[in-house]
Amino acid sequence: MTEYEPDPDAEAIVLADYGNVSFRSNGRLVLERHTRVKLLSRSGFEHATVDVPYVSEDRLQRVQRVRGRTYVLAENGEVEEIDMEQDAVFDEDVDGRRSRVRFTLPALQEGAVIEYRYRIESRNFTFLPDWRFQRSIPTLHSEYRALIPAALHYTKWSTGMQEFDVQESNQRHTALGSAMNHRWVMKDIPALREEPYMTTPRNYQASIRFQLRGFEDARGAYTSIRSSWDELASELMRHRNFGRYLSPSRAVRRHVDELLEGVEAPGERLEVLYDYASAGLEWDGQRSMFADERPRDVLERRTGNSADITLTFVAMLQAAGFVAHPVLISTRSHGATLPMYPMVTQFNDVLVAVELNEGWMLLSPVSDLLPMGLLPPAALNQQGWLVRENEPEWIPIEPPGQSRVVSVSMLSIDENGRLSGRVDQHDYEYAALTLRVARRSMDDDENFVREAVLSSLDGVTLADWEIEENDEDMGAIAATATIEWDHYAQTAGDFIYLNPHVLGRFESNPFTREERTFPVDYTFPRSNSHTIQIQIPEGYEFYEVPDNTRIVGADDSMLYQRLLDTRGNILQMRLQFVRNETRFDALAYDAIRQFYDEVVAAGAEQIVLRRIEEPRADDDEDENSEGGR
Amino acid sequence: MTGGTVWPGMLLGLGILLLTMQPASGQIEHVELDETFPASAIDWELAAGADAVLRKELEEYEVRSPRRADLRVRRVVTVLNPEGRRHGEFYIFHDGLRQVRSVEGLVRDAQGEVVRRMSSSELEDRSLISHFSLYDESRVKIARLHHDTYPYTVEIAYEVRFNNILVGWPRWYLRRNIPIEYARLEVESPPDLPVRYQVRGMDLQPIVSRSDRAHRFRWQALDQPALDPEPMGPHWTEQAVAVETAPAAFSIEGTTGDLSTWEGFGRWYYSLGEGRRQLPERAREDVQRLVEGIDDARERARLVYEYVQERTRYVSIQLGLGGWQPFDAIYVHERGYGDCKALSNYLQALLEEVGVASYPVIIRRGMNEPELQVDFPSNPFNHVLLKLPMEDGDPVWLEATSQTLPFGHIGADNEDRYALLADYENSRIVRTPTTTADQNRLERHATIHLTDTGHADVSLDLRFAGNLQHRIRRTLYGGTGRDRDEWSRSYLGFSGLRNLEVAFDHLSDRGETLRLPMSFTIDRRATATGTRLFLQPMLMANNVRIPPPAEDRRHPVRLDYARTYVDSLRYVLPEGYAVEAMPDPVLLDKPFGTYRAELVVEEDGELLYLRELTIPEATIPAEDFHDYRAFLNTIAALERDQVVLVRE
Repeated sequence: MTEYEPDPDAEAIVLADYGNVSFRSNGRLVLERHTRVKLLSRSGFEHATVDVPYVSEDRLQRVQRVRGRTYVLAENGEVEEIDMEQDAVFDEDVDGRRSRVRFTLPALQEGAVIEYRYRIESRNFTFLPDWRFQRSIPTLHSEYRALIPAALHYTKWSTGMQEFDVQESNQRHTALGSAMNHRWVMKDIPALREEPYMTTPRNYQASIRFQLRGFEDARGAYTSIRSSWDELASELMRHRNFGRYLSPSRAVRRHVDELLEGVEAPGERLEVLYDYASAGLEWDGQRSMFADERPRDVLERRTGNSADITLTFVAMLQAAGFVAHPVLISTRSHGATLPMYPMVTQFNDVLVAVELNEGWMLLSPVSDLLPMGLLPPAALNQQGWLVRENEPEWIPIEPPGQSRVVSVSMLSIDENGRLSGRVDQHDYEYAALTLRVARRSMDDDENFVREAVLSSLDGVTLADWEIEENDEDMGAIAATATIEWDHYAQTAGDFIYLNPHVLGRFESNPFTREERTFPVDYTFPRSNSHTIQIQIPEGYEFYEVPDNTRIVGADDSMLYQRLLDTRGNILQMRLQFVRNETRFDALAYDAIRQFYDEVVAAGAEQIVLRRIEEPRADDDEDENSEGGR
Repeated sequence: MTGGTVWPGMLLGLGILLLTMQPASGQIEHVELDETFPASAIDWELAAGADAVLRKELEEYEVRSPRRADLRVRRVVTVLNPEGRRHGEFYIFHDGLRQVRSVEGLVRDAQGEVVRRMSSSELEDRSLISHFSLYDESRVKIARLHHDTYPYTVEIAYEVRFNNILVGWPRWYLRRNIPIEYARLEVESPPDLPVRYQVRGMDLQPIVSRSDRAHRFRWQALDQPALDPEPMGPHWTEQAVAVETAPAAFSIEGTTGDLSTWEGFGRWYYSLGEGRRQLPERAREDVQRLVEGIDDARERARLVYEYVQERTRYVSIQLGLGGWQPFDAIYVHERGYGDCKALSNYLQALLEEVGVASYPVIIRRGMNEPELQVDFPSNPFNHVLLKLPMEDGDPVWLEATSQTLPFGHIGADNEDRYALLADYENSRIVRTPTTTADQNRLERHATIHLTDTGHADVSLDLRFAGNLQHRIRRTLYGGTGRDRDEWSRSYLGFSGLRNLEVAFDHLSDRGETLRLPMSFTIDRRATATGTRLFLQPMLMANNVRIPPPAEDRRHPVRLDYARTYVDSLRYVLPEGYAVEAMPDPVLLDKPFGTYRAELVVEEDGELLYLRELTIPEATIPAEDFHDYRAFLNTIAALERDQVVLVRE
């Protein structure tokens, strides 16, 4: 078999995946894994190289007894077994905390079956190993068993759409006393494949996770530890890499006093501190909800991971008299959060909530490219959990801005098809953020204006240009350019064929596939507005002009509108694109795709100009004087 | 092969650098610097426009024995603004052949006062296994030195110990992405372990001091400006003023070699493969059966090459000397994988078995790599090919790591460069073959039925040849059904693309030409306005990347290879429509490119679009830069022109 009929695209299938968790008398938690995968085509060979990540810090986990074997059909029709040698198993120390064991199986061919086993031993049993029933390839059988001492109580969180085929538990007596024996089985699980504009496949993946909720001691007295958000909050507030850093130390207070010397107004004080943390403290690129360093060390070294900087910022705000708390979040690629489960592994990053008159304001102080109030796109993931000793709470995270572009162009076209004039474009909020990031990576501002700001004008020459960045309106970039574009319009005989969509044109549909499984998820809303005025050459008339257009998609949440008007020798066009919603059901996919098809088609529509009289003799001079305007 | 060398450029996180500058000053005898490096001492003329300045750099490489050398580096950088912050971050690489002995760092304020000293716990140590490796020993220590008030000055000092003297010899560049106020390189070695060096780009003689114990070479430079990179230009190291140093005799992991001649280095490399080409009985039987009855050496080689392509994959594992020494042929045969050395050694063994001689050729693989300095034997290599001499004088070159290359192709990242053929007695520099514009060819033949709403029904035959087929064949051959579908859709790029069907059955033939016949429809390929249909005759663009404008271009533009694109598109027009206007025929004929495009209305009313673009050479001289850009811009503008169809 080199094709799996229910899913002919599959390059490999998991035949069976078994995980077995048990507690050992030495207090260790052991996961034994045993997996069999059939490789259907060459592209499936990547599934024969396996990474087993583990936590090596403080020798918390170990990976042991890695074995592998490949089964191939020999020419004589017999199954041949090739064992993986131990020298094909590597242990990589990733960064002194995390490690991974990597191995690759031998003698692969299309149709081969690979099998591997390993065990992970942990010294910490706060979490049982996660189990993912679903992968990027189909799985025929996935089974997770756990033998858990009756004295340990876990919260279980399952995700995904698929029901368990078997879910059973029974009591057992073991050498360690009474225990619950659990078994979860899923069969015929389809492949989970990533699609464009999807937050993360993890949101849909069939999986289970566990976190210790409480335990009974030898006399049967129960201690609850993380059975509620309140309990989790008090634990975090006592945590040496979290809550302990929130109250400002003397060093932090001194630093804040220096920064705020002479600054009185609360709004200004907040801004000074925000600017300091976002520009003065360098993010090392690592995301974490736990700090590595004390705020005083962060302030001294001026660098740290996202929690180092954010928790330091909380301490600074508190020192300055603000009410501020950390807000734990899961970034978009880390997956959705569920308030039903008080599980700390839901989160991977942290923001700040500061109390202002109008309520909580969320801030992320890790990047100097983010103006105050704008949150990083990765943080726009529905909600966050505000942590404090009393009354921790979930708060919604709405996109604080949209991708907004407004432009006004005053252009003219000459009878040779040359377009020239002035373009004024303002990018705001997330549109501006995208440009700020681009600007930092480009050495040359002229290239930046041409290639990033006016990216749709691919044949254009800039006669002059200006660029200005400011922090108003959560970041704005204003670009003004005098453009010249030879042969923009096509000329033939008495006709000029002119596409008026100089800006704001969609060249292609972002959705190429014909089917969609999962919702379409944008990060933030979008709104573009372009006003374009084009003066046509003297002696020409508007011969054919496209109609006004209004295209509406997905229940009015997407709108494209074009209004065209001609007066004398002036064409006035207003283009508007608005997408208010960020999330669309997969059922709306066809409509969204159709919407973009129509928008692309509308942008290709042309104006036909026709000559109505002979050109005057001094036309060349006219052209020159217009070009300089 | 890792052949790892840490370039100073990499340590500073430099990107591509290029050179325009005048020769630097001659030898400097004596330099006095304020060792607190106040910002006020910066030469602002030198630092104009810079985000950071290298105030001082000392690099000392000391050979202790054939098996031991120490590198000591001290670097002082002043960061002028937030854009310059990355220059205060230092990356120190280490692996099984080199060990970081110490790292110290400190930060000074603008006045030169020490703000703080780095503690060793701040140093990150990360694995750096490359994305294509299963395992190697590469790691990096990262020191991040920052301050919050500009300008500030950071200092790093570190020491690396090598357990060999093959890797680690300094390559010292005086053109970087920040200006240099003062830099000094010292190389010291016992008299019986001679130092070899080459200076390029300026006349910069070392100060040499010799004692019985050691010979010491010292180069210094003052006030070297930073340079802007030129996009699509040659590799920066070919432009930079450089001092390259290298050993003569060396010793590494129990082997000894001689790098003072190519012959010596080739022999050392050759010897590493000796005794590693025994084959298991089964492999010998396999290939013997394969070539039974075939006498032609080229055909035998082809069969063996395809046998290796079928049963192996590329897996890179690099440990110590394993950066150069191949895993033996039995290992590869049994596991079905290996890295470039192991796979080519295995291929060599199988070829030997069927009586075809071949030689390893060690090479620096990659697009736009610096040319090998033929007159200065050194070790910049990272890959290996095989060369098979043939009786007809036309050798065969083989790349053993690819499952999809047609026999005899080596790919754009190996072609047209010097490399070292390794043999026991007769190692020598050879040049790899080059492909021509005629070989690297894309032809697209299509018939397009248009309706009066602009809908198009398309049948398209894509034919990729030469280097143009390699990446596509690799992507599609190793891709899932979904990958292939996604590739096709993004290659076509049409909005309103529907009913796509592609015949992928030519993927595994490893032929000279990759054919991809396909059919699809496009809603609104032409735009209908009133009584007119506007049609852009070029179905899809495939133009060459246009380099960004520059007033003075100093270096040639480098493309990956010469190429030809041919489009032949037949449009069947909707009933009742005739051509109102269409672009005139064009012929642009330049030394760096030829473009012709023509629209013909056939007697049956069909419209034929013929278009051909040839770039005959991969290098466009700097003096043609403006013409070349204009040529490409003109083509882009011409291809926006449309055919206007009108209903009669």
